[in-house]
Amino acid sequence: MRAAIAAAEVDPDLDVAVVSKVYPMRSHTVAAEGGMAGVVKDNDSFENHIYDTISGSDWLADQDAVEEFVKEAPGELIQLEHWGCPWSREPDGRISVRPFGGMQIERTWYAADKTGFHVLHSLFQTSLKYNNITRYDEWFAAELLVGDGRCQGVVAIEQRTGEVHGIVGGATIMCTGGGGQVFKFTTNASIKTGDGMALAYRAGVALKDMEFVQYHPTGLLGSGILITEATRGEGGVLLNKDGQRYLQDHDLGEPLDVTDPEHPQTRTMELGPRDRLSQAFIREEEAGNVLVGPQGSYVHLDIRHLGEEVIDTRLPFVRELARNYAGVDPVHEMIPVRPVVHYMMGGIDTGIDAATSLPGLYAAGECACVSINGANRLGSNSLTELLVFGLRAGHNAAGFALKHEISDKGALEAQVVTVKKRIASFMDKGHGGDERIAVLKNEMAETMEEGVGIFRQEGSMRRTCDRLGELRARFENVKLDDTVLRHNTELRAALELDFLLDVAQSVAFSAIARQESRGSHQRTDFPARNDERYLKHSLAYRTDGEPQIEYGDVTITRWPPADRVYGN
Amino acid sequence: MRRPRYCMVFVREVTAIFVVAYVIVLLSLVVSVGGDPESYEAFRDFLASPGMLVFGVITLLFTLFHSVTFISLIPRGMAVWRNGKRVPASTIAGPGFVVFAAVVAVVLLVLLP
Amino acid sequence: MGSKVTFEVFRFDSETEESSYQDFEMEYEDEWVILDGLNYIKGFIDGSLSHRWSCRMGVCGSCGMIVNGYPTLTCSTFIRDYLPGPIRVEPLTNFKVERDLIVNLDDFLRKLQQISPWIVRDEERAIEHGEYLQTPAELATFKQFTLCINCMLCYSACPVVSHELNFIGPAVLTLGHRYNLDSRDQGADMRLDEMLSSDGIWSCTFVGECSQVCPKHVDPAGAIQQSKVSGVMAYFKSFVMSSGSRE
Repeated sequence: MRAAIAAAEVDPDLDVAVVSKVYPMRSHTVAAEGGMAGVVKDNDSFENHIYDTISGSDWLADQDAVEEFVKEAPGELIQLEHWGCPWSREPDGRISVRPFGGMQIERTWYAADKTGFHVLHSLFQTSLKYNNITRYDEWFAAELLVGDGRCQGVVAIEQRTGEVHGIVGGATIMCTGGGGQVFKFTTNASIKTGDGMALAYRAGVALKDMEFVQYHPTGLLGSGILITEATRGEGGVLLNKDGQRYLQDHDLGEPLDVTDPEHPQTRTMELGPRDRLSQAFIREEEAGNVLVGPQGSYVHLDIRHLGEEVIDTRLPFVRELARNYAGVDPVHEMIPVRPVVHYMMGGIDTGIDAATSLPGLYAAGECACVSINGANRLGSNSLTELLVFGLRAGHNAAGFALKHEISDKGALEAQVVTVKKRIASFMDKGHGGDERIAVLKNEMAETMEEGVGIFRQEGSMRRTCDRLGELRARFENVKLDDTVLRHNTELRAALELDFLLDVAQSVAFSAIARQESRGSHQRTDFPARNDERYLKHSLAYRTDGEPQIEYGDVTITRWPPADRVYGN
Repeated sequence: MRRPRYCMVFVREVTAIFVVAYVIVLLSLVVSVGGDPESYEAFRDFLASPGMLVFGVITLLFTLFHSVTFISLIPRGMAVWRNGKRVPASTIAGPGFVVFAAVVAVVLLVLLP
Repeated sequence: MGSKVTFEVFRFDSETEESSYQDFEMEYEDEWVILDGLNYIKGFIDGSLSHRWSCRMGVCGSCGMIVNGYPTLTCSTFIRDYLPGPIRVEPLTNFKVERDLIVNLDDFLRKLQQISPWIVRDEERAIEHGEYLQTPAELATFKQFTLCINCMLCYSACPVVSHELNFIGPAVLTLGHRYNLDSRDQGADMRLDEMLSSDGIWSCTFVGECSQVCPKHVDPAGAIQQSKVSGVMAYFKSFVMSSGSRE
């Protein structure tokens, strides 16, 4: 949405199309809770935010990109304020900020604990005022249109009719989010099937740093619903089965009592980075220190000491979610949580200008990898990333489109016809198939969790890679019940699974190739970071068989790699 | 009527019919007062008939229902804020009921003796 | 595990215009919501069942349907609360059905744009000058009305929507009111023109069912009544102002 507005503002004569498989207000940005980071307060500085982001990334972020990101962040947050986002406020009317994991100073802007919801709705509602934005709601992008060596639009299925259309454009921006659905236990919505990543991947663009998958330390037990990091930013604590704040045993500093005015301390204990907290959970689990119930093992997130008033004004959604989905009221009870797949640091290989290696194709947000997140993203940087790089993508794509006429129309039309035929024959074949989509998807998610979870090692990763190959073969025999064209959600699910398998393979093969431990990629067989060999971005290219993994340089400017130290 | 709210709103709307009917009765009363005494007597007898008494009671109940629901809905349409908090519904509706009761009491005091 | 429940699901084929109810019996788990049941049917019994869903945490607004006659967000209501069943699942009423449980939202999106749901300023403040100041008290006046997830349950519940096709409807009128109350906004006059039109707030008969079904406690009925008050105030103000200026 941010990119669309930016492009629409470049030139009112530009015709901007927003193609989305769901209505824009359903997009998964809606589920982000805690907030978005931007330096605005006097006690903070760009330098601090840059350092936090780079150390959080375990030095895999491109430092020039981080620097520009941090500097452009406040302006974008204010822009959003001007567009009506109901940010939480200080008594004097200024923006209120809260501390977040891995950040040394509180700089996370928030709208209670529904920040993403408000960001999305503010952007969507604002976009309605631009007459040159045309929405294609519930159109499913099936393939990129490539002609003359550049991307010139997409081929999409209009779900309402089932018809396949080409949508041509001088430039195309991918803002499709992540692919958390390759895992079983995830905070990601059902629509997060990595479509944009797979589309670009199939058009020959590399997927960068795909091995880095973020586990959020506090997913609600059972459903995997996100319980925001803001719970800890406000002072919530994590307790093991003995009621002990176990993070102190995992190199995250010493705890202060929850009644201490200094609690919670930044970059310490519960405000450590997500990768370290999720890893600490597994260590506790191995030591038998976690609780175990019918829905698996868990620890307790305790926010009772915040009191009802603070919870209701700053964390009302957490209370609603915990009460509805776990049957506990966090005002009086502790919330059962465990790590859950939340975010992909990796994505479509883009530069600092949001452009990909395919001319005319841009990407921004979770589907892209600039990279500012490196091996581990800090909480509250991702929503900001949408804005900063959405804006850049919008501007640059608009500039590109103004300079490039649609060319090679014959080839583009032929490609649309090819896609039409491909989908028609896929449906025909599906009616004779016998592999259920849901079964294949479950098996994929299970093997991903076994092989490329929080801790990884050669053997299990190899098994996962092999299983994915088998699933890819079985997918050829997928079964489709639905013969109706209109709103054929089963066809969509099958095409999504096709994309998911691509994303899953890129994750697994990138992971097995990286023989070190860095950020969210922890290998028990290579427990140390190896800057000599792997201070590199991995680049996965699609082939007819297994993905081909190459490496690219990381931009290091003023912050040479060092140890990541957390704790007071 | 599967939904009680639909039903309640329907009843609220229906109260208007009775109020209109009652106004017509009152107007006829005014007309008969201005006419000869015999027609006034006849009208008084008509008013005292059981049917009209039942009609009067039903109208009273309906207007009471209308008044009570009206007053309790006032806070929904009136957002009053004090110190950044919404003034609770009871604080707004409460005085409404008090005023209503007072008006009824005054009317009764004036009429009954 | 092991307990069984039956769903009676509305099926509609937009090509043949034929509709029917289809029964599906399945084993369910205690923590399943209605949506889990539908997904189970789609995944393992009949892949042709079509419904919308996404976040499964009650915030994206996709999965509103009629469950046992009542507008419901299916990801937020549990099968265990409808036992012993059968549980009847139908598409939202007051919308045209496109396929099975999927309804047409074109009208809603048209109305949404009609109300100008964005901040209107006489003069935009430059980004360099920072944020507009807004106290927590000012924020509180409209915060509740920002929480609408566009799930459409209120349109389904509203008896006015059912017979006045052009009625702007609860969610959109609430959103208009939300922007009118926002201290940063200066577009209330423009928006009130739309809201006070014949398809606007005066069509609302204050049944209140919209607020009853709202899963986010937005209280559209309250918002509309408040808009009526603001509309009347604005009318009297303009009356006083214009007669004052004439003298």
